[in-house]
Amino acid sequence: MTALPRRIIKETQRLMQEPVPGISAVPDDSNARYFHVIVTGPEDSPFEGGLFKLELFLPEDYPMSAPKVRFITKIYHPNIDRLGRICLDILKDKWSPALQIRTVLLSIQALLSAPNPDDPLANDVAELWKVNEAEAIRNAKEWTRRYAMDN
Amino acid sequence: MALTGLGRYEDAILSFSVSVALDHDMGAVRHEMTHALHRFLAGAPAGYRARCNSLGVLAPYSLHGRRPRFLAASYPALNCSDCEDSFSGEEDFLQVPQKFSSTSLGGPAAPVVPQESTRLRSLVERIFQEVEKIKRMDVKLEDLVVNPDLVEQSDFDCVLCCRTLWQPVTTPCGHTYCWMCLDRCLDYSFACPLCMTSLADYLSSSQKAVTEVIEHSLRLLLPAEYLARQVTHHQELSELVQLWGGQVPVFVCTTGFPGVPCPLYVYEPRYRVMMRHCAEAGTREFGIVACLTKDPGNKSYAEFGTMLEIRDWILLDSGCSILTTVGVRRFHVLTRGERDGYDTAKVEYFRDQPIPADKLPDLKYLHERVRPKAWQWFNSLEAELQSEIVRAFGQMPELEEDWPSLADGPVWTWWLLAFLPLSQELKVEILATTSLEKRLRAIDKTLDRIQAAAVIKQGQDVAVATRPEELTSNSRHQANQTQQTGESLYEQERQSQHTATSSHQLPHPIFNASFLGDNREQVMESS
Ligand SMILES: [Zn+2]
Ligand SMILES: [Zn+2]
Repeated sequence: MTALPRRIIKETQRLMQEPVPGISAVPDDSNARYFHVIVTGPEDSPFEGGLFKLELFLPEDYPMSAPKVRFITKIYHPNIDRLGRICLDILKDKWSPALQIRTVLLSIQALLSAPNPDDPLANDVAELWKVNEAEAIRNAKEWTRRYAMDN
Repeated sequence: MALTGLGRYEDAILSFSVSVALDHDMGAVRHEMTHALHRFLAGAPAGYRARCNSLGVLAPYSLHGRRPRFLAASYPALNCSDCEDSFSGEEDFLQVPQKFSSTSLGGPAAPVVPQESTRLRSLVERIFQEVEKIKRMDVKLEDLVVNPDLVEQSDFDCVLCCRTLWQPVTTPCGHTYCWMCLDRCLDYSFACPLCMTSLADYLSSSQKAVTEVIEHSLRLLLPAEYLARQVTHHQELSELVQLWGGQVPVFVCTTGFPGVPCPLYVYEPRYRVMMRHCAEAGTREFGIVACLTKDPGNKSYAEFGTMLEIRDWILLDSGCSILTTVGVRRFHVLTRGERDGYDTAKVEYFRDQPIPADKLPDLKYLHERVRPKAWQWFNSLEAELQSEIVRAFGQMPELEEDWPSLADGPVWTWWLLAFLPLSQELKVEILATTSLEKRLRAIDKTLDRIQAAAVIKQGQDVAVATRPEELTSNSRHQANQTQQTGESLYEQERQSQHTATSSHQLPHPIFNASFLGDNREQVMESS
């Protein structure tokens, strides 16, 4: 392993010094490319009040490749599957090396505020979200209470 | 120069004139200015051009490396000795520009400049105004430069590497990055990282050049940062020269063989970076190892490989490249590393064991038996296949006189192994052996088995069972991607690092099947 690139050092410093409201991202003690992330459920969303754990990993060719991000906390969301994988364009084909960890986490937070059942990853969730939004939101709230509020 | 790149020739000429006024060192500016002027004039209204022709002047702008005299004359106040020297040799300059010079000095009432050329006139006006401005602020200028408090260091940071810009390049969309950082991005996508504008045209027109203004300001305003960045840059390069910190870059693809050409098609971003590093470091060498996905985890690529020397390098417009390489020596992987997404390894080179004198006669006898057999088999192949082999790996190498004492034995054995239908694992095993005798016996047995298989095929008219090894490795990778496991991303990442890359190989594997099976005892004699 080569030394940590300046870019990662700077981004980490900035994440620590000027954290994004509602998001905490802390690098792992043993691996500076691995971040423990906590995103608070946005207000006025079914995820409000929840604390969602995520893991974020910067691949060796970051920032040429997007960070790998995954929800660890279970979440009922049409764009997040059972394994916590996230359907977000900037994590895939819309990634640009000018984007940062910060931008990625903000986009994920925004995705919680605005679920998009038309571009689903979790098909059953998306289906319900389209057919019966009220029930889907009830489910999301229930999951948030059950999995994202234990402490 | 960025302005020239953008096609804004008027503005370019204007800023060139201003920079000449500001800075007496005009060497670099001069050529660029000529170029911009050339373009500006070429784009001037048709009436103007017609007039030039009627005057018997074909194209005043076709004189490369020359700067029309009228521009020199436009700053009488700045006629420093530099200027005099630079233009003294241009007395023979064409008449039309000389008339311009009097024109521009004489103001807008120009007898020669036709009515249509208002653009030119207004340009000259602008140059005058700018130069006047500079003259007026000449004293203040120094105060400006000396005040470093006004300069924000981060203004000169590259968004990609978060360091001070090094060899800054400005894209047509107006974004500036380090040259090397932008190059790396373009390996992945033609979009500008900041605004997503396609840079494909910009790339193909190869207009990329260091933005002098920024480079210059950096040197002037942030000398310490500039110097520090320069040091890091050179450190990074020398790091590469030291073979990636004692390691060699490793191309995970196929088995290469000593003395045998290995044509490669490089399209994967990480390998494009690797090849550029090879070029920047000036080493022209990298290791090639087979991708073995049979036992995943830390042993995803073979433990033995071959150093390849780059002989020829064709860079395609797409950023991909075709390499002509040849194997130089074999290595054993000791430890594995990574750099910018590609593999590196600490390696140990090895050679064949010397052949004891008493074993030599037997070995020579064996060799005399196997070489003709190999030749015979090669000749029995379909003509099309033969020529494909020759295209990729060359003709069967001549036998070296001193073959028993060579580090890797006679090259023809490796040439044959390059296309013998053996599994990747077996090829690696044969590469790893330090005994020429074992290698010859392995070839011998393989040829026998091919013969036997051919006989069976003829007799039964049944296709030989095929096991497409290259496909297995590819589909494994796909399986990996769709696999739904809950394991940590980090683990997934490690596993997906080494994906099957057999398609890098040119031409596509001649034998997709290994009809010899995997039973190594039948080919390789256990020691
Ligand atoms: Zn940079
Ligand atoms: Zn741009």
